[in-house]
Amino acid sequence: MATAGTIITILVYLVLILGIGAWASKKIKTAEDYVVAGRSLGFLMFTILVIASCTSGMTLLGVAGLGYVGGWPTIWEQIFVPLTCAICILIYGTKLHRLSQKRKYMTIQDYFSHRFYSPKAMRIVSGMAVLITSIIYLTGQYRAISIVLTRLLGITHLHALLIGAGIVMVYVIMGGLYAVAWTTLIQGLILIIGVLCTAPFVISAAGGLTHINKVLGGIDPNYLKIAFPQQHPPYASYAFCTPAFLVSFFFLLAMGLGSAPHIINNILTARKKSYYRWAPLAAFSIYVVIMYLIKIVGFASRAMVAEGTLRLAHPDYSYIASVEHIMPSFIWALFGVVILAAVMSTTDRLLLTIGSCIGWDIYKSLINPRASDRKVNMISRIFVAISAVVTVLLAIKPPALLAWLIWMGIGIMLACFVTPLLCGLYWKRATKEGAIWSMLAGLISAIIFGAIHKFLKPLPMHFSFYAFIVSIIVMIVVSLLTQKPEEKILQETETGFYIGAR
Amino acid sequence: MQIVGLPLKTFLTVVLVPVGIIVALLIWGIFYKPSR
Repeated sequence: MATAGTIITILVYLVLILGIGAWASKKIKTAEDYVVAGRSLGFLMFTILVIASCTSGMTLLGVAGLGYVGGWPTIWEQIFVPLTCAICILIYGTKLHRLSQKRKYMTIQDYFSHRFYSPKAMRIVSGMAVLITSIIYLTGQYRAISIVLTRLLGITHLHALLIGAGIVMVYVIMGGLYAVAWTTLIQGLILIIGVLCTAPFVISAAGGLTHINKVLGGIDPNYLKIAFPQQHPPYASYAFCTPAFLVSFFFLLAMGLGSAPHIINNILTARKKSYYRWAPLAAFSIYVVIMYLIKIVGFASRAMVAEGTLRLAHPDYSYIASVEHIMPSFIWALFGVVILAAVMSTTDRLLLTIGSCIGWDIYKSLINPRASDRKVNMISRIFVAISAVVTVLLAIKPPALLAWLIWMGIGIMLACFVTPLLCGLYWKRATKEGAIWSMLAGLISAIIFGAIHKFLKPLPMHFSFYAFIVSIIVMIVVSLLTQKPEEKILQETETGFYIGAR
Repeated sequence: MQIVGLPLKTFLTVVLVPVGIIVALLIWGIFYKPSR
């Protein structure tokens, strides 16, 4: 049962972020303010926004849980996810930000429609992929909010869902990206401080790193290796991080996650191009430390469970249960806010991505190009509310295959966005037809390979990797078979194998 | 040989890979000139 301290702490946090939403609403004058915070974010806020958008509801729950289940071979996840922040800023972002300042792109679809000289078809295909992936992902995030609030406040799943989703929806509607950026800054700092202040105590309580590793090695010696033996199917359900799987994991997490619309759209919000010099280093360095600590807490909880000092209902509770086990109750109340902050920092960005996709990319760009900023903002806000309600309804009774659907969402991001994005930025020969067919082939083949992996026969690599290869082949073949893009377009979009300005 | 209970190969990998990425990003920061 929740203590008064926990309830008060959570309420103070929720009132604070609602207050930020109300304050941010006064700054919204134009569609640019609502969608990209007027391109005015400073270095710290921009860097934390990129990190926290990657920090989903599964970061504290799932990262420690995977560490609990899979040992050190799963540590690659903690290298690849921080690396995606650096790749997103450096490889995708440096050029895209420069272009967005000149061409006033508001979303990644603006870039696609310009680079691939396709105002309609490219927007429709990419918008469809954005909506599918974001809604699937958002349903999973609401489920995570519900898990956290149910445990913290002792309320029902439905009440937890309505409180958590309602608050995020209200501040996103009010303050757009200004509200998302400011709340994310606070949520990101809470998460960083929370992990730094709790993880060392959990690791120490488990007997220190040497002792934890000794216990893990006693359970399975492969827990101490950098990968499980390459065999298919794996010798145990947890031994899937084989060398071949890790290659696909790299592309999925380091390349695919960074191309996700709710993450890559953040690179349009930075005030200065000089941020792109040190932001990749800052984002990676901060995030890798936090992710390592969370993962090692997963190892620590496994050691404590093996020695009988901790009991766990589910591996995903390993971080929460470990902190609850060793910390005084008032710290636990504060830690509740840390978990909630991690979950909400992705949820709000996803909601805004859906709203701006419909308000800007579909309504303004396709249906009514003469629409005023006021009307575009109103449409975006209405669809933020509609998408919140729809995803809450889905999350009330989540599909039995929710975890598979979330992996499908991330897999579709890799299969749909990475090839058109990389080829669009760096390969002059990439054509409109190549991009559209590559995106469609990626989307369809990700669903097919995902279904084969789930229902027919498990694949040795992550299913999205096969779809990614299909999307590359389709892009190259179709581009070479179709007419080369005009030089004017290539110059306007600074296409070519370089990053810095020319 | 073991360090903090990990085989040497695992220890070096989990330390040197992130350090290598940090060094690469540091070099990027030193050489990238946004004003060019």
